[in-house]
Amino acid sequence: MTSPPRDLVPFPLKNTTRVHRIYPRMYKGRPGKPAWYCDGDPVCRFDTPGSGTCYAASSREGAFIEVFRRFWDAGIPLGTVAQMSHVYMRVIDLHQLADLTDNANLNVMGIGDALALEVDKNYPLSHAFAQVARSYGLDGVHWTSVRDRSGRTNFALFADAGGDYEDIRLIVDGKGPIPDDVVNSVAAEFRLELLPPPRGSYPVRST
Amino acid sequence: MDSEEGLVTAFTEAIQRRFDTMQYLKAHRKDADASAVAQIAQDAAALATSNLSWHLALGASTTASALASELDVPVQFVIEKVQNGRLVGLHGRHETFLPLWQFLPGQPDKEPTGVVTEVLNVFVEELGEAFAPELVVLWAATGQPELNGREPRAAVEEEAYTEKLIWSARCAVAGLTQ
Repeated sequence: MTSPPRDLVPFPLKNTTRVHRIYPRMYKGRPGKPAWYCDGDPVCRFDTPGSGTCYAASSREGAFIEVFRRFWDAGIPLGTVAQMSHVYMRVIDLHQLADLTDNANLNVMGIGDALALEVDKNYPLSHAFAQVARSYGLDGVHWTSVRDRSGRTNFALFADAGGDYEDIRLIVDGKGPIPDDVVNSVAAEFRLELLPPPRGSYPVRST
Repeated sequence: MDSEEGLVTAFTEAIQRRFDTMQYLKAHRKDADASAVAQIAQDAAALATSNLSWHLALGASTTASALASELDVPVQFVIEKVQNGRLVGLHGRHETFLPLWQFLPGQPDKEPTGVVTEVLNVFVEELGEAFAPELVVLWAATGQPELNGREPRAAVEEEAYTEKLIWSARCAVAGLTQ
C-alpha cells in the first residue's frame, strides 16, 4: 500500500466503527441491498473508475437526512419512508479514509475548498479527489454533511467493484423499517411536517 | 388570507356546526375523556396542516377532470398519465391534481414541456415500481443544491437550467435507489 501524503490527515476506521444506510426495501423486482457499492450508474459523488463506493452515515438520522432532504421542504413523505429500510453495519476490512472534515485536507492535492460543496454535473472534483485518495491506498472518504447542522458525518467506502459486498467489508448488525423515532427526531430538528400519502388525506373536492 | 387564521376559523366553525347538528355528539358532549379529546384535536390539526402542505407543494394546479374536459379526453387517460409518470400530478383523496408549472404558461396539455418530460423520465426509469407521482411534486417544491437552492418548479421555464434540472433529479433519485 502506498502511504498517504504527509500533509493529508487520514480518518482512521476501527473494526467497531458503525455506519448507517437507508436503502429501498425493494428495487426493480428484487430486495434492496444493505451494503451496496455504487459503480458509476447512477453517477455518485466519489466514484472511481473500475471500482465501487458504498455511501453510509455516522448516525441513523444522518442517513435519513441524506436520502430525504431533497424532497422535504413541504414535509417528510411518510408513504416513501415506509418503502425504505434502515441498516446498521460494522466496518471490518477498511482502515483509513481521506478526511474532508479536517480543513487542512481541503487544500491538499490542489483541489481546494470547492470540493466540499461540489454540485457540478458528474462531480468532476470529487471524482478526481476519490481517485487520488484511492491511489494513495486510502479506503474511502469521510466528510461532513453539508445540510447537517449537528456535525454528523458521511462515509464513502471503496471496494474493488460495484455491487453487494455484505459480509466482506461491512457486517450487518441489524436492519428493518426506518424507526419512527428517527423520522420524528429529524422532523423536530428541521421543523418539518409529516405528510401522510395524499391519496388517503389530501381532501380538496372536485367542483 | 393568512392560512393559519383561515384554518382556525374554518375548523372552529365546522366543529361547532357538527356539535349543533349531530345527535350523538350533542347527547354525549360531556362524556369524553379530556386527554383523549385533546389527542383527537392534535391529530386533526396535524392532518389539516399536512394537507395544507400538500396544497402548497402543488402550487397553482388544474385537476384531472378539468384538464380532461378541456382536452376532450377521458379523465382516466389523464390519471393514468400521472400514474405512469408522463404528467406531473398528485393523486388526492377525491381528485388528481396537476401543477401548472409543468406546462407552457397558459397552455395545459396532454404532455408537459420537454425538460419536465426528461425529469419525469429520470424518476420513472431510475425508480421503477417504486415511482410515486408525489415524489416529483415534493422534489419540485424543495430547494436543490444544483439549482443554487432554488425550487425546480421555479426554474423549469429557464432554458439555462435544463441540464441542471435533469442532473438534480438524478442526484435526488439516486438516494432512493442505492
